[in-house]
Amino acid sequence: MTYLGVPPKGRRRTDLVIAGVLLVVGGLASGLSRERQSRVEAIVRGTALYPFLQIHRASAERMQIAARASRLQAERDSLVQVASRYRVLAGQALALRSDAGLDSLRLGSVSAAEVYPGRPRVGDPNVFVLQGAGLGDLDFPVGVFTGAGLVGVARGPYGRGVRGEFWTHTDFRVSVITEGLETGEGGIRGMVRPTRREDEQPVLLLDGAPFQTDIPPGTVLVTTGIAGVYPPGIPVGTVRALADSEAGWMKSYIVEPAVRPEDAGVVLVWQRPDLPEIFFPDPEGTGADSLSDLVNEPDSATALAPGP
Amino acid sequence: MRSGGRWVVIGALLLLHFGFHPMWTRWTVGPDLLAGGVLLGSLLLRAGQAAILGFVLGLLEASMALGPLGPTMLVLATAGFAGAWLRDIFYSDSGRFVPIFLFLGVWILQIVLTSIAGNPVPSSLVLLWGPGSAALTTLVCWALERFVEVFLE
Repeated sequence: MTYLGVPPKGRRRTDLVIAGVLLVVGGLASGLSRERQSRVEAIVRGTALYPFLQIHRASAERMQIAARASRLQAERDSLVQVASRYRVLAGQALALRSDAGLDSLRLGSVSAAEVYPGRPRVGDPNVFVLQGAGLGDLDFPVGVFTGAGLVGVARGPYGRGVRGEFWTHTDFRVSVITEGLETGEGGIRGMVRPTRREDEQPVLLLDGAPFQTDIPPGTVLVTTGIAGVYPPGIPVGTVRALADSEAGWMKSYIVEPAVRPEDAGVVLVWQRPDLPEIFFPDPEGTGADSLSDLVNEPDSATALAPGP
Repeated sequence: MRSGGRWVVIGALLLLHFGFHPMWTRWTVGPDLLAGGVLLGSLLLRAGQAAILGFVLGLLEASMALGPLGPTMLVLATAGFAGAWLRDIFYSDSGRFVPIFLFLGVWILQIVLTSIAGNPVPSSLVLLWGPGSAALTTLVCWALERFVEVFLE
């Protein structure tokens, strides 16, 4: 009997036992860390949901192919312009570094990947999954961007792909510097984080800009590359307006993001270069003269954690 | 409607839901075919079986939407269990029961699933999008049932 009427009492007990077991399993699943949840999701996406995801991919490509082609053409044209402008500068920089006896610049490389965003309402639209070749040996966290600007950050492996967060995620932070707005110290620096007003699209907020300096609307903010998570010089957004003055000594600005999550179909994942051996002066007279020496010296006040 | 025909409807609902997932979630008011499938399934299964159905579909939904895994599984399992339990209490031969059951069930599920995903639950969702989505879901289920009745039964 399944359709009408009341089930026998023995079956009721079985149903309650099943419900209890599911409650326990569901409770355990709720307590899983994000990494473990990602592993389970990746298995499900790679098996039961695989045909559906292939359909989504194929239909998205089919629908966007014309728009993507014209966008890529425009992006290519602007990149050619930028590359031709900086080719001379790059040559000069190499020559100067060579004269100074420095190594060549370590810029790292990039891998292209497709973005599968979390769904709005029922899922988390601030996270994404990346699929693509060459994502195996990443050193997380690492920046994700397009030709137009910064998209977010890759946080960890996700099956054969990578999971990450868009700039709209509450945990997102990036250190930026103004481009083309020179001050005595070479540009205004600050920290950018997402902000969202009710019923409005999320935007970015530049925090920590010095009070005595104004950043005019339209100024482009690019990554500084500090901490090695994001490559330097990637556009983050454009200053839109002054948001707030904090405690009379700092200002905040509303920043229009360079890339909105819905516009990020194919992205580039940065593969940061191997860090060179860093040498430090020896102010304490400990005899430690390199990063590895300092790390191996636990009592040293200047010891640094390895890695970016 | 025969239970075999209703299983065909549930299968079609789930295929449509997962096959066109990006489209359904892009619309502010769209049919929630997953909720429709779970609730229709709960009319055919025992409470424990309906809970298992909801649990498995919750796992698929959370993996597809990158939502919270455990809460989604728990909510859909609870929906299945509660649906089967309510059917035992309220079910009558009245043709109005299934549409009302679907409408109210989908409305409540929409609100709960949105809130557990950590997204804001505005009053417009509760009063406007929720009922709209529930009405659309009921309409799609009704249309599919009629289609199966006419062409397959």
